[in-house]
Amino acid sequence: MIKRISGIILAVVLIVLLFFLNKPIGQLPAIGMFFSPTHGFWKNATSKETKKTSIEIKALNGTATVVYDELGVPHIFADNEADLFYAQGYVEAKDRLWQMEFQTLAAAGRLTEIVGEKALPLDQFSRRIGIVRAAEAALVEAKKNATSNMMVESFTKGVNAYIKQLKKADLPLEYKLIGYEPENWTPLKCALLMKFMAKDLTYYDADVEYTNALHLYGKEIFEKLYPDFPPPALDPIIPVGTKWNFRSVDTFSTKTNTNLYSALYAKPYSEFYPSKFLGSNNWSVNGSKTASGKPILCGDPHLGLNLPSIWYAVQLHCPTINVEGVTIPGAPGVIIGHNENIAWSVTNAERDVINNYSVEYNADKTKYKFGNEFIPFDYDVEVYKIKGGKDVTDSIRMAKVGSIVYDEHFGKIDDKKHIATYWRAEEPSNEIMAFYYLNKAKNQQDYLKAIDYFACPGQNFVYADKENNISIKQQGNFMLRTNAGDGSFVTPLADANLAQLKARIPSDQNPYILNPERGFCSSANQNPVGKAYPYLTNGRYENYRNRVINSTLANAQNITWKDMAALQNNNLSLLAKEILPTLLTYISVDNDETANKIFGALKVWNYEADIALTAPSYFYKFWSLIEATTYDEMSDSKASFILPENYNTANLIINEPKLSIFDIKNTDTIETAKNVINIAFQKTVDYFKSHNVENKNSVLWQHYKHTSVTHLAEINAFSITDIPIGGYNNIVNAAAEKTGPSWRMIVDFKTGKPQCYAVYPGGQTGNVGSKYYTEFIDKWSKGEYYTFHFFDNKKQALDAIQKK
Amino acid sequence: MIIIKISLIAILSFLLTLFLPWYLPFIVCFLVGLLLSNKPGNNFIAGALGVGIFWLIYTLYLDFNNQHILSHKIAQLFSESLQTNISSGILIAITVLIGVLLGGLSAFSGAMIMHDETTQRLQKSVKTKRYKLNLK
Repeated sequence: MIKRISGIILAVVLIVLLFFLNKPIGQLPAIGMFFSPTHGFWKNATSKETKKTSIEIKALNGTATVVYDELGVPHIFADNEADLFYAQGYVEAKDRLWQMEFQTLAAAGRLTEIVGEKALPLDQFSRRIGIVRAAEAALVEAKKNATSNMMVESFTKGVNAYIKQLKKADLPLEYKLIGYEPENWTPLKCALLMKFMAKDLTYYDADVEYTNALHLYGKEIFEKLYPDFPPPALDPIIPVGTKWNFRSVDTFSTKTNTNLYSALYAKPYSEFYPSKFLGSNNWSVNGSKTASGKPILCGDPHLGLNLPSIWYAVQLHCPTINVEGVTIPGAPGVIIGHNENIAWSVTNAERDVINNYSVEYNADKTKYKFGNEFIPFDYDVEVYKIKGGKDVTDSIRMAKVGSIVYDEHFGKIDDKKHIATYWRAEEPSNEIMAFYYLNKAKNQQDYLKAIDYFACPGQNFVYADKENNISIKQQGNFMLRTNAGDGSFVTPLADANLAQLKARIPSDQNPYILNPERGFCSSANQNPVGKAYPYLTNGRYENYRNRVINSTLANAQNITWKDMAALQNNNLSLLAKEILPTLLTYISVDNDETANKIFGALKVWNYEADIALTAPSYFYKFWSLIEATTYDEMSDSKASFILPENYNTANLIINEPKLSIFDIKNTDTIETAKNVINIAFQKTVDYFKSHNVENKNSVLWQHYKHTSVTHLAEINAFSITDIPIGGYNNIVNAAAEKTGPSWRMIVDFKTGKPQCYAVYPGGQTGNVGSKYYTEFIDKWSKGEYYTFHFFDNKKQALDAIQKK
Repeated sequence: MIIIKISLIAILSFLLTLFLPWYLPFIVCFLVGLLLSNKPGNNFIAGALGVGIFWLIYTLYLDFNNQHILSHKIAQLFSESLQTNISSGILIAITVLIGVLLGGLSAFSGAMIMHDETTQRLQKSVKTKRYKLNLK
């Protein structure tokens, strides 16, 4: 009897044990399930993968055929558009389900549901700035239009069909590791993804920082640090001298308030804002400049470098569509690519589409001053489900212009410094239709009509077609501003003018050029236009990549796609080329060995940011210390600041070395640029003296820069670090620490039929356990490309994979 | 007998986990212990080896065909979060150990529940025989 009882007790203990081994505890995965070879991580160790294969998907009306080529790129063939987008959803889920869901949970501010309380501030930030509100508004628009409704509905059904047949044992590894299961996809998730991109590409807004800088430095210096147009060399997207043949619409006179800039504001969660180095290059050259006499179009968007990659390559084919390129998993259609007739790529417009207003409350903070009266707030009440904890409710004050992001509950901001934020992405728009029509566009008119749907984030759409037309248009729903400073500073909410705020520049008056004389169109996040354009185009603009690209293209003749590949991988640091000679004349070096070594390396440097050189490491450390020493006033304060663009700082060093900004605050003497440079150089020498002790190799640019492609959930073991790739910020090959060319594409119309050469830092599969997970990174880092297949029909695709 | 039990556990576990949850092998072990009982110790070995061998072979099969890509990454993940050095060999050992211990104990507990009754009956009959013998 005792044995039987102990047997039963043991059995109960085992059941309890199994129960716990089947559940994730704290940071640990469900250990038993996770280690079991039949259901755990071992199951994701895919064996003997064959890429050249095809599958049939039973879609809504018929069957879609998916042919995977040797790169793992799916070529989807369907009989109608609904089936095509259904199959696209299915195929993207098959390769990237976890990523798709994780990104939309992040966008929706729902990460606490899977990782617990630690994600609460980020989730609150996402919801407070209005990603969800914007996505809901976009979904209403998408549903109003029969075509976009068909796209998101079919896509959603496709994703869910995949989820439905997915066995627990075959869930992507991250689900097993974090301990949750996929939920159903919804059309809202498609919209969330688009607004997540809008946040990444517009939420670098610097109204707060500009207001603080204006307060700190005064108007005269402020305009030298943050000019609307860079003084040394303006090389805008639309060439200077282009005539604007339209009558500009009436604008608004702005009220000027002299006491506006009396406060210093803060952004407590600065880490949640997008990197200022997200950007892109794109250009197209026409037949007058190419060896073949046909156009070539290039594009390389610079985004966060993540695994799985932000991009997924695909060809979509049905009787009315034949398009190839990349999409963001979770979005129907192709975002950057080409069809049989045209090719296009995008760069970010970098225009300011955010306004910030200081709030004046009534006594109990339930009303705000608007005009001459106090009006009550609306409230956006958000509930956060917390894994392993109780729900948290957050009540967000909504003014007529938008939400108050930081307050006494979030970020703990003093009442007098609360800001209501207007964000253009919350205006209704239907960007999905822009991609739909671009995917089908036959000519230049189609392209213009298509991108008209594009509102936010504003983009530079570069274009080329087989008829040898090239074009570029900066398209978006841009704010109507005329007076310098409009929208750049925190101004009183009481003075806000809603009509002005919502007014837009008519789409047909956005910067645009067709077949320019110089034979090429290009953009690299620089100022879109020269001073003659009738509207204010304030934003945060680059001024190095554009000039390297434009001067290279202007001087080039008989261009082939390989020349374009070389340009995309160009490592010239124009910043160093323009400023380093001046810096070196200022430096006085004593007998110190390290100082001489650094000075010597900088002196002979050819300004190429190549992986095996030490000079780029010395230069960029030196430059960052020059900035830190110059702008010591900014780092002293607890308010938020933003460093001026490099070209403005460089220009001031060269042309105004005695400007007061170079004076160091906590010294009795008056410093000039020369002193700053010498102090920074000495600090650079000290830094590398201690740096060298550990590892001599670590001074080489590759290791010093340390470009990494990081797993989306920041799991180090699933990331690739220290990638041998040159370039940097402000360089055409914009590979920095964690951002860089996330897709490099060259479309050559040489034979009439567009041929795409491309590469991205990742792999088609999102399965960590696959040998193809990081497949393309090697070629990407070397500046090499894959030759993509663009099939005319299903038979051709099937024949192609059966060969070899 | 024990070879049959080991094979039975291994084969049933393999077939059932194709459709059913990961812990099915331990239910199989328990039932084998319960229904095909003799000695609990013997059953422990049958359960341990049945699941252990199945999991070992399956793990090695997956890992080799994957060229150890994933096991290296998971080993690195555990090494970093536990601040120790864990190799993919240790991952295989942990996997097999979990299978061996849970498999063995499940079969053992099943056998204990059954074995209790049978042994008592056995002991009773032995005692009765002795008693009878003593009577003589």
